[in-house]
Amino acid sequence: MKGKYYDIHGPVFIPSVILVVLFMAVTMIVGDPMLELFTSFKDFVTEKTGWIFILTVNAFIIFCFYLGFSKYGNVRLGGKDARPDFSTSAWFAMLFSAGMGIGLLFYGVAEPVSHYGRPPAAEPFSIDAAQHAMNYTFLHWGIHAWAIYAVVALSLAFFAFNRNMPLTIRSVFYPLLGDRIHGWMGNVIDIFAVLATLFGLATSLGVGVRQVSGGLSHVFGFPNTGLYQVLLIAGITGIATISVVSGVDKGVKILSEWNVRIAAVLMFFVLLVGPTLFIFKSFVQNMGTYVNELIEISTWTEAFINEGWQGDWTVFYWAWWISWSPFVGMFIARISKGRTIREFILGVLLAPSLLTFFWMTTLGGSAIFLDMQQAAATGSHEFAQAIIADETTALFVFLEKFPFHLIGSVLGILLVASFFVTSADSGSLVIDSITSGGKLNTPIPQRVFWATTEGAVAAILLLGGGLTALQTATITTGLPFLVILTLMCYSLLKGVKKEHARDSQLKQEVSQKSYTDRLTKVILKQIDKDKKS
Amino acid sequence: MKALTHIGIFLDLSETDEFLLRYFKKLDDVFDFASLTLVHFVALDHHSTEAEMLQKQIHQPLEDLLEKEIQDLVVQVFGEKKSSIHIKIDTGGKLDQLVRWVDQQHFNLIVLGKKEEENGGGAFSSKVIRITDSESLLVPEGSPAEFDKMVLALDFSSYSDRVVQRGINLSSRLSSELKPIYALQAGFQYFPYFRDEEAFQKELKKKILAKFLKLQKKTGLTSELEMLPDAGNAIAKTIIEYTSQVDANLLIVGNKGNSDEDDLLVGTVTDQLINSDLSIPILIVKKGY
Repeated sequence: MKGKYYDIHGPVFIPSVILVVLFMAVTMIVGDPMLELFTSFKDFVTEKTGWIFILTVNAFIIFCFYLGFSKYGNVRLGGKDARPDFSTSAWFAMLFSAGMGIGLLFYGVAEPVSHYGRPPAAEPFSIDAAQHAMNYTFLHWGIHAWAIYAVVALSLAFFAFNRNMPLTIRSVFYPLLGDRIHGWMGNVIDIFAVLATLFGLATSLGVGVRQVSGGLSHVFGFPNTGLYQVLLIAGITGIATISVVSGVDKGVKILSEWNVRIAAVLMFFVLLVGPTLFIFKSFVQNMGTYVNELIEISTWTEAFINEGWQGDWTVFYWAWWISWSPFVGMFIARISKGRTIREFILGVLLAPSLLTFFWMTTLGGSAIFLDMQQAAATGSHEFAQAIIADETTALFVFLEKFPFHLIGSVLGILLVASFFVTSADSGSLVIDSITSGGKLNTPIPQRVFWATTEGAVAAILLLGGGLTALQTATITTGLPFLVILTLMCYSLLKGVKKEHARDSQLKQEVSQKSYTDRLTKVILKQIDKDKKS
Repeated sequence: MKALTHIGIFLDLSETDEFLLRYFKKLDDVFDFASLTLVHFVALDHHSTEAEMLQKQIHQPLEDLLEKEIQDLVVQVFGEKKSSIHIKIDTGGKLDQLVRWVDQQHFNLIVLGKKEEENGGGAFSSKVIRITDSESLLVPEGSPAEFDKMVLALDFSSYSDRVVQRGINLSSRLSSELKPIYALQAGFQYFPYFRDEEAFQKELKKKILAKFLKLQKKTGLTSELEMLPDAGNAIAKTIIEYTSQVDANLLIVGNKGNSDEDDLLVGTVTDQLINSDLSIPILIVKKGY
């Protein structure tokens, strides 16, 4: 369907909009009881299906390494003659900034300190708790997250660049469904992708706005209420919308580059002014613990003691990354043309994980270190408790320990807001592209529609149930998408095997001697003719 | 199954080209194809330095020269320049890219020749057949353009439906007799366990027949199934012997069989058939990508 203001693929666009509107309407109209429903539903999903998330995400890692280190690792994205568009270091930087964004600022301090103060299986505030706090944080932000992205991104890249199919989720299922991907099955897959992206994005936006609001309230004493947060969402979404309308892709590009630069400045500031030696020492130690305990903690399912910890953390993260995967996957796919599957797997799984680990050690690790020092001097964990009490202000409470903390905090607030704008802008582009059947140049009003819808979903979920509502929406859409991802692995494997078989067939030389003789004859005949004329 | 309307024919500047065009003209008389694309791949290698040197002496691009050469052949065979005939000359030197281009054209059938002197059938042709996703017809040089008897090699895999459909599709236009066959083979896995071979074969035949009845119902095929006894040969050999026994002039097979291994581009039986000295054309039905 196409008009002046729209260019949509109706069977995906319309059901997606109906489902989103329905979800928002019910949340608004029902009100408080909805929060209870959200909570019980989230508990149900995490309690009953948490183990499926844990198992499957581990399986993704095994699948990634299998692909990377088997003979299929030599298959090149874009065909055997393709070459990368970006240098390896630029590629690493883009991977890192694509995957995490707002989350790094929100959870960078809050998560490690929270695990340190409320560990799932250790004495609170103990050395053991501190070590495991870093380890759990690494688990949630490490190779598991990136394996989820890698599966989606690799599948998208492979089918787009090696099989010349449109860059939408449904293309990946061609080896399984054949031409049926153009029918209702493909539509259902794309609708799930839209919902997952929308709710995953809304969660990030909700998280971001809570942090901006918490920061403004903490630093300047602004009110920190639901209404105020909604106004902030409206304001920042407004800016995102302006950037969409003005079509200044360059603006967003510059903004996202600066996001990474400012984040880097913030990290180096903490690294230099903070406990530098401790950060380097603990980075090495945390990495060792991570590698050593990876299998144990990544397969831990709270089987013997169920305290609901995992539902709030590990399972929520897995669902969050899954819901982000179409969005991040599409971006990673675009920048990874020309890489071999082996390069891709190693690059996507390891490089951004290592950078994230360093970030987490610098911020969260330092916070734990500062608290331990303070506790040794005063006997109180006041600092850590202040961080745990409100995760939205965690970063700002932490920055207060440093010189120029006002500048640091304002920088932090601006950074979150700026991440919000770039996420909303690029997120609306992705959703727009899926709902228009893989097109990239759709009318601007349509992109504005999705940018505002994201803001509206984030606002309504925040009003109708706060973080729980956001988390529930993420986990609920994450679960069906987990199934889609699993099928995706199978489909990708089929495609890659065939590609490899083709490549080896093409490598077998066929002697062209007799052909060359015939060609020479044709040319000689012409030369003869030319001479005569 | 789509009717045959768009056809691609691979030409290689040899005498086989004329043979292929003449063979196809007979089919064109019946089908009146909407379009016929003549594809030529300029395959140069280390033997080709002389050709490359000579190429510089002509006053036109190699593409134009070859296109003219093929155009002349078209006029010679069809008696006129037909507007439905297109020529694609690929000088890029990348076979995989050409095959991808071919697959993107969604030809209903691509046709390749097999030369007599190349025992076990043109390496180039069988390479293209392996990597393409398009339905392919491999025509041995000299095979008569007759279509009165077609053998359908069935194994009741997902390809068999298509094999039958293509057979029906062709026979309805060419009024040919269809001969569906199944080559019986006792799986090795049964070896130490079954004592009474006769009873086993009987049971096996019963099962196969039930599958065939189902296929008949689904596709509307009316011909009877011929079960070829297991003579201890490879299945491909059994099939080849049968085709010459009944004087068939076309063999239709699936690209792959029951196991549908992703690591194989073409199933083992079909691969053996492509590389055999089979003297009649063989049509390989594919599923697309």
